[in-house]
Amino acid sequence: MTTRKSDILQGTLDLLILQVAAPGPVHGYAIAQRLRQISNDALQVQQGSLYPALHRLEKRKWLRAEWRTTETGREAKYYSLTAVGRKQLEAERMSWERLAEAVALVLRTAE
Amino acid sequence: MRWLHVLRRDTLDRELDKELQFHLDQRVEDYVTQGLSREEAHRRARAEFGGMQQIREQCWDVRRLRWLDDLSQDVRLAERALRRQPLFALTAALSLAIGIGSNTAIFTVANGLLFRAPLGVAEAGRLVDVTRTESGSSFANPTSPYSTYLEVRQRATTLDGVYACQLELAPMSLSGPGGAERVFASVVTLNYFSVLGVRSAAGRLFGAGDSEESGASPIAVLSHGFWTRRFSADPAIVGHTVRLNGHPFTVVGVAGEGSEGRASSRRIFGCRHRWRRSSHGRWISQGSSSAGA
Repeated sequence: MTTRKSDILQGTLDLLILQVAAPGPVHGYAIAQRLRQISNDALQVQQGSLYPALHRLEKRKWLRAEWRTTETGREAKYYSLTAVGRKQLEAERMSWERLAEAVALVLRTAE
Repeated sequence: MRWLHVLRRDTLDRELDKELQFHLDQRVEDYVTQGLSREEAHRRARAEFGGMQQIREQCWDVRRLRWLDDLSQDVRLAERALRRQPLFALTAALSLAIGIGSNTAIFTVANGLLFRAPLGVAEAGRLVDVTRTESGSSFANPTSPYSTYLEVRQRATTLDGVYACQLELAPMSLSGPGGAERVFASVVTLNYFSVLGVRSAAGRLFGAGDSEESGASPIAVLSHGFWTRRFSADPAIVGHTVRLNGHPFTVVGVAGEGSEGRASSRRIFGCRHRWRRSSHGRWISQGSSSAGA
């Protein structure tokens, strides 16, 4: 199976979303915010990528969505991890770490 | 329940809009907290957001393509499974082919014979079959003796015209220019062609001028198929005499294309009196219902 660059990026975004959603229900804006904060502004996800990704993960049943009211009284769609999602998160983390190790190895040895 | 999503597209669109709007508003609030004026915040947030419609469509693509993804995955799985068991696949394919093929064949034939109105017959929708029902029997007998036909013709008020055609086609030998051959004669009443609304392809058809009395000159009408095959659609045959079982008959015309039905390439039409015992036997009749009936 050939993976295209967009697939790899997509996969990475999925991993990040799953990770951010792991602690508890969070809405789309909060996910983008948290990613920006944790990465020190390095990761700035656009709405054009974030929301299709969220919907895709919801479709795959890795995320569960429900409408709730925020503290300010507005209605927002909160996403939380499903059991399957949790397992998927673990699997993706491991494969990402393996990938990172491999890339690091190659870069070190290639010098 | 996934198909419900397709029906609920409006609801989902509205939900998505609400979600995106919330995001936008939060962004605006953030900018305001950072010190921008509300209008500036709005402008920036709007600019960041890009095309709403695009985001909406991408989300929709995700939902839609998901279904396609699932389907293609299932198809690939099925293909692999079938490949592992070729004999089963072959058997299944053959059974399906036989089933579908025979159904198609039967339906095509039935369609041609039963469902489509015969060409060459005007206003086929107005034609009705005149049939006989007997008390106690659940289906109608399409054939009746000639006397019944006469009664029906006299007494029918909702039918513009009723013709009768003898059920059995009488085989006989026709000899004329070009040799002798076997044909099937269809004994019909004189109004056969007018009730059906058939037009003549050459010459004329049975009509008001003809009579069924024994003294009248014997005439015959050729079927279109017969005319095309035997006389190469030559209109000069009109007026010629052919011999049917030895008796001379004048060909007065040829029936229009598509109107014959059975034995169309060997059929000729004759009127009742010309053959001995022609009133016997079974007749089928149809009537043309008057407009508005």
